[in-house]
Amino acid sequence: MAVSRREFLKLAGSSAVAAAGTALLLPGLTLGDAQAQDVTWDKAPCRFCGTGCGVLVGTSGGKITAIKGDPASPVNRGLLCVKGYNLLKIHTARDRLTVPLLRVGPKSTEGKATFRRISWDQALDLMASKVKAAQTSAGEASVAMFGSGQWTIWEGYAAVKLYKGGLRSHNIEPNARHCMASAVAAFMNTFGIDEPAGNYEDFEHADAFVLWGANMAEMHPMLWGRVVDRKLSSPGAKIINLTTISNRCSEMADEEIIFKPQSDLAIANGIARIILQRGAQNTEFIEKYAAIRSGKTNIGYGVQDKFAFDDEAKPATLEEYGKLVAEYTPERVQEISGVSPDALERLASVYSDPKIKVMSLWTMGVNQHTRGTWMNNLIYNLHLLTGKISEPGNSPLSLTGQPSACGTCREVGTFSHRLPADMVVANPEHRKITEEIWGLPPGTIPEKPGYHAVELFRAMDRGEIKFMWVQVSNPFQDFPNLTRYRKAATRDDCFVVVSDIYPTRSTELADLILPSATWVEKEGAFGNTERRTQFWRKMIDAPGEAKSDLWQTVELAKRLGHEKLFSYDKSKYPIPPGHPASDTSQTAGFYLEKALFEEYRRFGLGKAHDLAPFDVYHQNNGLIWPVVNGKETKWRFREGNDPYVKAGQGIRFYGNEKLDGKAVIWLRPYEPAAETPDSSYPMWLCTGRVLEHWHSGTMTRRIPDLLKAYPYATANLHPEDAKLYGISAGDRVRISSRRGSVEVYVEIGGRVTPQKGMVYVPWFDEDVMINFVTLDAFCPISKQTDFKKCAVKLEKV
Amino acid sequence: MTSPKLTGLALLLVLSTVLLWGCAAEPPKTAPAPAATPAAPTGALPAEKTVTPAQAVAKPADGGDYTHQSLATGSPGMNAYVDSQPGQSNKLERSFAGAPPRIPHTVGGLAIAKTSNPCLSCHSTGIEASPGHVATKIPESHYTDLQTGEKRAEILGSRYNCLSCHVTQSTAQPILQGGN
Repeated sequence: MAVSRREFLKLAGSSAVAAAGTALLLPGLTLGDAQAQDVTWDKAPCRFCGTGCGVLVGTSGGKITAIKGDPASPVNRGLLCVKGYNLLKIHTARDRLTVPLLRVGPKSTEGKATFRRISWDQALDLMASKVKAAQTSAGEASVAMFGSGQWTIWEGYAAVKLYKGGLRSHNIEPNARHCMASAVAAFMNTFGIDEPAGNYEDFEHADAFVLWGANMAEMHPMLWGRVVDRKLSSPGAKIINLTTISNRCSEMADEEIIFKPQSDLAIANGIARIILQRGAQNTEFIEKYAAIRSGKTNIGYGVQDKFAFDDEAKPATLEEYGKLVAEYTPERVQEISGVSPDALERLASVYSDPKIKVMSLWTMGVNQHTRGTWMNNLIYNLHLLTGKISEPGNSPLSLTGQPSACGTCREVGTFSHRLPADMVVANPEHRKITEEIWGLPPGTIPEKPGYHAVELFRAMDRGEIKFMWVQVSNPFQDFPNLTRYRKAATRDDCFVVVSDIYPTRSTELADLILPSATWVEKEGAFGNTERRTQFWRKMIDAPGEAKSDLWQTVELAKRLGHEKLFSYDKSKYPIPPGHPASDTSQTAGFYLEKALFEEYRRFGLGKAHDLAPFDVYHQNNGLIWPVVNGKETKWRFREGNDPYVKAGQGIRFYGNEKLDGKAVIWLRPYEPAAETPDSSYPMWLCTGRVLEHWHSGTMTRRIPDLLKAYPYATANLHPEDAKLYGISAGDRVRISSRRGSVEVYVEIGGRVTPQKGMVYVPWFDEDVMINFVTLDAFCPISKQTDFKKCAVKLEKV
Repeated sequence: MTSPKLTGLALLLVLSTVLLWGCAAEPPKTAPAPAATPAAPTGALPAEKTVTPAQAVAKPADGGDYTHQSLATGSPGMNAYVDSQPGQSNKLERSFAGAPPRIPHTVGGLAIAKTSNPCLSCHSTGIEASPGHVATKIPESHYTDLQTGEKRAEILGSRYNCLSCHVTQSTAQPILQGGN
């Protein structure tokens, strides 16, 4: 329900209003501002990172006129970061794409292109003809789609249904492959079920926070706020910032521990060694709830085409595990990582002391890692050895980077090998369940998985992919080793369609650009880091002829003879009177989002992935799944908190019924990075984000306040390296690797300072395409790319 | 940045372009059946004019070309931040109602640490740091638990990292001229 201003003020807490009088009520409008406009308020989750902050969106006259943090949201409790406040302007820049545009010149990696306006009918007919021609000439799998964790749940679901159930191509991937595939792989091989055991309430219960290469102060600012709040309000609460780069988190941390790239593997094993050496392991927990497994070693880096790898889990004993970690003596760990034995001891104490409740927090540092799955495993090892899991404050929490990396990519399964609710295409039973729910004849869904993201774009470069549709993503700025993949996009025999809201470094390579609706221009749903599913309604119209990605997918399906996939009993899903129906529902003549979601829910019901009925989510600030009998599950796997754990079981990692409900402690050694600095390329390159910009900056760099706060990507250097190379702040340098180079200005002493021997360059800047330099190596288990480590050289220009 | 250019063209030409470019790698038989199109002018090209895609929507019969322009300018930029000292700078107007005030002065050398937050020394009270320069006072909301309405003596820990919301100012001009 839309909330009127009056109701909202009531909701926001009358005491605060009364106390503040006519002054600022909340971090949003003044009373005068609110009274001056006839503002309608409604709720939505933020469009940016994986935190999932609740936002109150004020609209009047068909425009968004106010934004504020939603005090009722259990995530952010009324606050927003600077990006959140600027949601007001993500969709209003004057170069918004508003009509379908067809290329009228040759493709060039230089990106200079001319397009011609065509109608939606022409665009969709053309796409349909391209899909048909591709599948006839080059096989069903020659058509591909690339999306992201910014797809709404039903957009991702519709895309998967069309591709896997309609077109019979598993070549559908999200950019989330670059973002948290390692987290998923480790959830699956450790717990047998995806996503964290705990939730954000752990922040208020933990005594210690260990950041494993995660700059939360910039990347998850509202969660960092909760960490800081705990630190300041709870004497003795401790923050350890384990990082390769000195950053804003260091300023609040009790200890900053700088480690060499890739050496986190050695550090985690070193901590485990100390735990065992001190006899601090929780023997009862391990015996009852943990299984021990070893996997393959020397597993490679995936740098060559058609790289294949399958891990093999072999039973191991605690003694064997102890023997492996015994190799990681403090001295050896120091040699590999640069971390002193004293610091390692202090770090180990946080885990080994049974009185300390500890949260481990990580994102891209651990996930974008050629041993990313291993590194996730090694963090879980520490929590499983000590039994510090599945209870308030003891929480390994894998943070996500995108608003629906969990809700869409992972839960819906928009990967080349997955199906909804953690199912996989290679499993005949899973295909059967999916075909039944989708009403498809047996055998429709192919058994062979498609290509993972990097291999998919390599296949495109090899000429195997004839049709590529990109939605909510910017791969030709975002992919590592860009030279190759931008070239792939310019092949004459591959028709590239890019749906977006602004012209980007990807739309410039498209054959066809489709104008998309964004965020509250459509009805949507996201799922955040803590398993919270959140809905929003359409609040404003999209400009011009822009259409939601869901509408686009359904309309293409119709032209390919797959209308049936999106046909439902209209009488069952009427559009409620007064409901601001999306473009998709208006075209369908019924509530298509609801029909899709209710169908999608069936995959998870009774399988520990239970979602609430559709209508429920429009009434609240989201629920943490599994939602059983209307009740969310904040801490999984523990009796009393999780309805899937039976009385008397205590703790049950029920995703692993084959292992008698046990979670897995993995034997994972240290192995070096895919490429390490040498005499020709003597420095590490690490890439990442900054607070003000979201991913490739296509929205945030069009917002004046955000652009002005951090206009350009710079190369951040350690002062001693600057001296060594004769470089000063403000100098322009060329950063080169074996793959490519960029020119960029140098900043020294900014908000981040990398360790000696490393240069940090964020990737948001369309003029600093740092991914020309990065390496397309990936974790052989998760196939997630490592954007954090490659070897480069610097030259002053 | 150059404005997107739009050259008026007959829709028949549009369709032939679909056939020529859209299907360049394939035999023409795979081309789509032309969709029904509104009557379009033929003959000589109208004079060149400059419109945005949004304007093209307003005049759907015009058709025309769109020169793609991302935010890339062809050259990297260097961040230069205002160097006015705290207490010496003028306040900036909020960009929109509800926008967190931007920081008009340098924050160089001011680290928000667990033991001390230098921002609070001026902004907790809103002192007049120098004649005519009054620090923006931190409002009530920052001392209030917005969920319970409870007032606290200290700023909420979740708001302690001022730089999550309040950002510094470079001297850069918007890349996209014409505003957002």
